[in-house]
Amino acid sequence: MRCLIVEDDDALRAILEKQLTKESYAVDACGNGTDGLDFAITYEYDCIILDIMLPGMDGLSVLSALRARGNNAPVLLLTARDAVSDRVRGLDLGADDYLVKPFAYEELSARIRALLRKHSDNRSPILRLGELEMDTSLRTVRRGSRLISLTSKEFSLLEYLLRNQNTVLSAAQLFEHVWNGQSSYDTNLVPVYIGYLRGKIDKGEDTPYLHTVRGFGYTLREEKP
Amino acid sequence: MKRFRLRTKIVVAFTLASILMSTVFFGLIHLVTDRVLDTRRKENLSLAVSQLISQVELWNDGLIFEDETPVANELCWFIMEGNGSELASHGRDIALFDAIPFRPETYTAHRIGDETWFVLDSEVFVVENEDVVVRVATTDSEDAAVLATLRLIFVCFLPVMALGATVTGLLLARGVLRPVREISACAEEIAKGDLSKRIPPAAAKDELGELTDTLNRMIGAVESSFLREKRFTDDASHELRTPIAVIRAYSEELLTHDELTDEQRASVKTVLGEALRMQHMTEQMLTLSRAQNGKLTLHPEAFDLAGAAEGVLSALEDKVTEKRLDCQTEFSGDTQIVADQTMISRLLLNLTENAVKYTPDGGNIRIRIRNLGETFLIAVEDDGPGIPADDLPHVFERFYRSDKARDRSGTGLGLAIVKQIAELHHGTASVESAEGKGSVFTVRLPVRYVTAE
Repeated sequence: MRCLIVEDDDALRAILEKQLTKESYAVDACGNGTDGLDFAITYEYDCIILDIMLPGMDGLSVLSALRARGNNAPVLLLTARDAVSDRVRGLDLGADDYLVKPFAYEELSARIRALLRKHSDNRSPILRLGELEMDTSLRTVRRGSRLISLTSKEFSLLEYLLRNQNTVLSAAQLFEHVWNGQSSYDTNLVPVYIGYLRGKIDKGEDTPYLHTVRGFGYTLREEKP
Repeated sequence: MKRFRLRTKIVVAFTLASILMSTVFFGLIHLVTDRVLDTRRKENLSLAVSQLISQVELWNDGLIFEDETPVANELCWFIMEGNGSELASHGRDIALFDAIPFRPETYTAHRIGDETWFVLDSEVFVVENEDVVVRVATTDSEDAAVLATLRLIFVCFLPVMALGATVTGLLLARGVLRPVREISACAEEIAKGDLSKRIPPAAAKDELGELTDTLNRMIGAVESSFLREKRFTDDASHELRTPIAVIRAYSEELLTHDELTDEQRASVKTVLGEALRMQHMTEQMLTLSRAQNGKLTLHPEAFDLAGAAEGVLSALEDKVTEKRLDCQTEFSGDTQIVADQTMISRLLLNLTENAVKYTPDGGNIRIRIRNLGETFLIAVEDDGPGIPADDLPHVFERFYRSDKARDRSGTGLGLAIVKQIAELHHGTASVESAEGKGSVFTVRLPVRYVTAE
């Protein structure tokens, strides 16, 4: 899953980037509104964390510009304690949630997960397909009773596939939601990581879940016999 | 050892100069002393002559002390009449001088036996109508002793002085050379690649201080030109992304039109293909540029190298089947590694893609991963045409393609990226190959990546 952080406080931005990356999100971060808008238009984000007070273009202007273009990426606003009117305006302009500074990181993490759930049809932190089960809050994956150990990118890829199960996703799409802007655009890596996931979730099992759809991409689905 | 040549030169030159100068100085003193002694000797002899002459006069006046010599005892003297007959003499060795012809007003030196005698023959005196001449002689034994002592002092003094000169020379050399060595060491550090460092400015405002300033200015100029170039590669690659994306988008859109003729469709596909190639190339260049500028952050994780090799092969499955290649993997030891998974995946992908590209149909590819304890040895071997010896050292350079490579597909950056990734992990990349004998690309990586230094 891919996150955008638009926050001008360098220290806060750095720590958020670090923590979210540890949780297997692909993270892009920038410090002003204009860059933020650029990033948000260029890439598809699963979640945007937007500070209201920003140099360049302020957070609310970025938000309204995004919504005006039809961009419906989930947005979580970061606001100051006494800025009630900002929060109200923000929610009305199309933000999905807000968090008052200072905040505990765990709360931000949980709210992001809530946003991701709201944006999909799934209402619980557990993502399921057949015997495959992923707990997004605990960051664990099992198939049946077997606990599967995944690296950061593998987890991120599987999460995106699970959230979009039964849909065919192109390599480009998968790349965009699993790798951040720092990595050079190299969709050749996608089949390699699909290979890694196959080795971990489908190997030795009767029913494979990960499928290659020739010419189109990949999908996660239960192949009923 | 190179470092010591200058010091040795300084010390040797200094010591030799000191020895030379003191020798010359001593020589002068010796000469002057000799001269002075000689002059004094001559004066003494002249004095003796006068005293003897007055003696002669007295003698003729009737006063003579035969047993008492009126002059210094060690002198030999000889008074004789004009016809050659001896009037008086004194000195044990006076007979030695018989052989020496008498010459008035002459001062001569004669070596007799192992002594040097100095002889003064006086002018002709007239005493009571008689011609009288006096001869006085003396040895130099005393004087010789003085000079000998002088020489002895010098001989004893010389080694001491030489030692002193050597020590002084060493101290002098060290004093001058230490700052030079420091500057040199610092410059070497900078030459190794860290252009942001500067030589610490010298405290003294002397020539070394000026040298330091000049060097620092030079490094500054090189650094900014280098940075500008790096910046350019970075910016250029970055800027190219947009136009390429536009070409790609429009080409893809064109292809969705049904009304295109086959020829037109083929043309658009070519354009798209080249756009994709350009895109791939600019992305790779950006990666390389970022890696070199230290802007790439490694995210190390524990993962299985064997799984990675197999993942890579499965990604290339189509091409492998198409060329009927036989791919084998060989793993020995624990294949768990701690490294950046994305980067290592790319490294393995690039190496294997290369092998697949250059191996002819029906050929063999082998991926071997060996755990050597602290290091992993990853070898990708193919039995393709091999790399000519001339090209071998350049294989990992950007865009390097040997003349033989007819295959112009790809970006020419794959191996450069492999090397860069290996080095970012504090590892190495190398190749062994010969024409007609296939190639083995070897990458060494630490089993556990640690942010070093």
